[in-house]
Amino acid sequence: MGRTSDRRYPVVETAPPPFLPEGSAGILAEPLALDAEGLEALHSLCTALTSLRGHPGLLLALYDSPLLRDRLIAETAARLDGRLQVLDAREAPPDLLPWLVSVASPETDALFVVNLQNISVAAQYLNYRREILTQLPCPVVFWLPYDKEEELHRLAPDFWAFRRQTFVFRLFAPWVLRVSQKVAETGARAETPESRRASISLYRQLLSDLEHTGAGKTLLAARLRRQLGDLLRREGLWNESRSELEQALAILETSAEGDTWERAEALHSFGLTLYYLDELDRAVASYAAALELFRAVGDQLGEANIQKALGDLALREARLGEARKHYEAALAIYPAIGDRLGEANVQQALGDLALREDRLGEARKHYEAALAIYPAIGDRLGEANVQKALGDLALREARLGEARKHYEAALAIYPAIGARLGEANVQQALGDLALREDRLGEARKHYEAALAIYPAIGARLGEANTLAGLSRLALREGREEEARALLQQAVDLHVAIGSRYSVAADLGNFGLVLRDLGRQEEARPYLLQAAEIFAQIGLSELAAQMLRAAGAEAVSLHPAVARMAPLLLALVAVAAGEIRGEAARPVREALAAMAHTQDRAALAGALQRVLDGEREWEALAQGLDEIDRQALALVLAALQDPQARQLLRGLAAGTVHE
Amino acid sequence: MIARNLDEAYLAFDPLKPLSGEQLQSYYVSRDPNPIDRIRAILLGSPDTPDKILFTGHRGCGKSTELNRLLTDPDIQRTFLVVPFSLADMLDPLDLGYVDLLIAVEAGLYRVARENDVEVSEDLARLLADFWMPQSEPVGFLKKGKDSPLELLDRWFEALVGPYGKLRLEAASREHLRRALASTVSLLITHIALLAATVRSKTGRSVLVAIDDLDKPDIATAQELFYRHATALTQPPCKILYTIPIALLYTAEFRPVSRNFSGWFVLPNIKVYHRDGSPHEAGRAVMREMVQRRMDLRLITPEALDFLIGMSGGVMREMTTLMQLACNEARVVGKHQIDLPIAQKAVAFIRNEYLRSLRVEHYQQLRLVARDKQVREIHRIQRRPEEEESELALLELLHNLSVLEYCNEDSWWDVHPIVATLL
Repeated sequence: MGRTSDRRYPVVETAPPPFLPEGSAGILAEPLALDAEGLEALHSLCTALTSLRGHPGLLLALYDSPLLRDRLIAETAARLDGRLQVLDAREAPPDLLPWLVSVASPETDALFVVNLQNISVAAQYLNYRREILTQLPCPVVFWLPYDKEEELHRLAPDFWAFRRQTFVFRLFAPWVLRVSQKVAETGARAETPESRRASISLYRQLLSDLEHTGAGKTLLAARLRRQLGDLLRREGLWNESRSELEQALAILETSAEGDTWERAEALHSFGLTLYYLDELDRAVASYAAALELFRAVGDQLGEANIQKALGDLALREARLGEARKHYEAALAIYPAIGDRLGEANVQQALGDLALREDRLGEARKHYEAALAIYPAIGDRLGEANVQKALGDLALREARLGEARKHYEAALAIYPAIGARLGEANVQQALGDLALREDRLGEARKHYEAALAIYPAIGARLGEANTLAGLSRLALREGREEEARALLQQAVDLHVAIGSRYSVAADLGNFGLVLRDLGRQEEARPYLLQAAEIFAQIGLSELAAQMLRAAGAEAVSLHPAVARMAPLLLALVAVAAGEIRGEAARPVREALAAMAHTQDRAALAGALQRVLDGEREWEALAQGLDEIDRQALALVLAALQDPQARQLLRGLAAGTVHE
Repeated sequence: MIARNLDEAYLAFDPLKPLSGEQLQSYYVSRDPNPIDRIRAILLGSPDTPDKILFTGHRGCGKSTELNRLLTDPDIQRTFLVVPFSLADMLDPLDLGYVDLLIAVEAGLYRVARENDVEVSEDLARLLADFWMPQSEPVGFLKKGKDSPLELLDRWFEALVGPYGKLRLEAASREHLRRALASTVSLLITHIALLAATVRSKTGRSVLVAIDDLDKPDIATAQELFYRHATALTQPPCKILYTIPIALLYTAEFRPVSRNFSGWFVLPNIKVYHRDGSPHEAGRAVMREMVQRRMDLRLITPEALDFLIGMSGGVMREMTTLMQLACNEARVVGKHQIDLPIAQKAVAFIRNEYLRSLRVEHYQQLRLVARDKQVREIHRIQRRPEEEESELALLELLHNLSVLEYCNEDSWWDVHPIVATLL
């Protein structure tokens, strides 16, 4: 359709027009391409404007994309040997024409009016005050969306009658495709909240234009939707991000062309968004599918990214061994392919993991490795994140001054780059710090600052953690009812998110505060409940801490369980794949024998399922008595946690006594 | 001033402005019949009779040009102090009431009198000032001071209807004045009478108020003004010429209400076809002269000119728009003369605009008009629900010139020639 792009006229860069975001000079530099009718209309418009220089006149230009409009305005400005003034009608009152006269520059050769709002009202004023146009020393071109023509014609017929000509410009598919391709290749500008929002707006318009020209289901559209999904996720608009990514995947799955790499990227992005939406199982599935595809195309970077993402997810679900495995797999790749950002990110993640495992020295080592990279590559978000992590570490080490220093370094960066989640996280951390220092007023200030952000961006985990912090603060301030209410809110939210670790932490920390206030009996139920949950998710050391705090024995295993320790240890080795084949037969035979006992038949069944690969506590523990549950908890903990395995080894060797 | 090339011709055909001043002398083409001549005769025949005349016509037919010609007529100028009235400058078109109109008439008359150095007596000035001061104080218009009544009135009317007039810009002020004056409209009428009498006695001329843009408000506002408050509009004791929306003529209420006025006149479109579709040579000659006065006819081929005249439907502004479109189109393709293909291109631009605007219900009405050459009356008050959509469609067609009216002894209607190509 139409001719190839008209390259007779050079394109000159102009100041960014109303729609295009700052930094979109690349789009303005793209040669304009229009269909035959559009080219003619453009030539006609320029011819008319040249003749009307110094004379009033009314012209109307219709378009079906603000992107096209702005490109046309830039093109017209380049072709006219004179001065063109673009006025944004959003700044004008409803009675627009007197405003036009007041803001028009005397040197202007033509006025372009864009973004006419609320046409039903504006049209009436335009109709009645149209004679004001005769007072202008230059022509005026009103730029209108194509679908507003009828309304203006109907509501302002006298104004309409004043027009010399209407120029119609329609999107030309090759141009849309070329511009979209360029944007897809260069990616979105996302350094600041403003540039992200502008990029989101640009992507949405490009996708609308692609739909308009029948290219809405192309691979290019899929790629743009993926990039838009990533932008939206960064902006905290997770549901919208999901929608875009689902559409991208739908295109990729039904596309005849097939782009394995793009599909892998889209699945990766989708997984990331699902992570933020707390849909962790679906996120895992998405990552797994992406990993397979990245491996199929030999994309090591993609593979490393997925490993990192899987590690993050495992860490969140307190599957620490699995998290380590994934992070180490990522760290084996990133440096080899020279991806410093990836390397820094996974170093930080390993630091987070070590912190969770209470391996503080190791955590520091990883964080410092990350901090050596982020500033060098200009990644301010990474730098802020690792400063926050070092603060967390220092807090754990009870180096409160150092913790504050790191938190404040992070807080100096997060708002500047519009990273609201990071900002909220560090506010919460400062709240925890202040609480620890007994600066209750300051703690409240920081918690409230965090709570002003978390719900706004849908960060439920942070919101819950802050509520938990506020509950402990209220307890310290003697506001009992408020404290318990806040704790309940925090727990409910953590349950809804599915973070059992956090539930245990909420209860345990609350209990610890009660204990510190000398209210041991009140603290005990909270601490015991926390211990049970920690044990269930295999964090035996934390379970032990809670038990100690509650005044219980460090290790309170039933003797029967302790006697089973050698079998349980061997079973763990088989389940972990460390012992196979013939070597595993004794374990299987012992289990078979257990199955024939009266007392332990149910446990035998559960352990057999563990050997078959099941790991889900709730399903496995059904129908088990207290002894069986302890044994099962030990086995599951040992499969995930080296420390638990050490405990079991000790029991089996008789070096750990009840 | 005749254009010698298409660049000059493009500027000479300007749909933006009615003819006035020098252009009125050079470009004006007389037409026959012309109701302005009858209006002129009525005005000059009895200058002191306070006639209220309604004047209307289709958009673009040349009403403003004819009014300009009338008001600058030497005999009219000699006989009357003309008070030209720009509604858009003085009042808010979206919130227009009959009280506003009467206030604006008094204000306009006062200002024109002062501009023409008509001496306003101390007594009259005090009377007006004493009336307006209490109205102005509640909204902070004027403060009592040492000003004379005339100085106060100068400031008051400037504040009211000046470039930043409160009557136009401030809804609260309008509401206040309407409430305050609704029951004292007779006093406003008296003020106008006294001012008119002053003008008469000091200048020997009667007053003629010409309100040109009362045809612009929506039909509901126009009905409210002319149907519900016709008495108030006809009471001022001076000649007033009101333009009204032509759509009012198609309503059942018009006939009884029009009897409140001295007369109503429609400026017809030029007939370029007879009712039976054959070319109307006299009308075409008028349109040809309209073009010839603006540009050298060698810039357009005879067949192109004839084609455009036919397609204009005899509407002056349509002809102007088509000519300037054709001029631009010729220049775009590098031609120095408008030929038939260029003329057809110009028509195609307009046709496409109609194509984008017309809806299914419009086409139904258009076919009826094309067949019957009639437009039935629109019964606004006793409208049946099933008629609503078709009446609205017909009003829109009249409004956007898809349907045009012509006058013989009786009026007849037809579809705009360009729109007719879409049927």
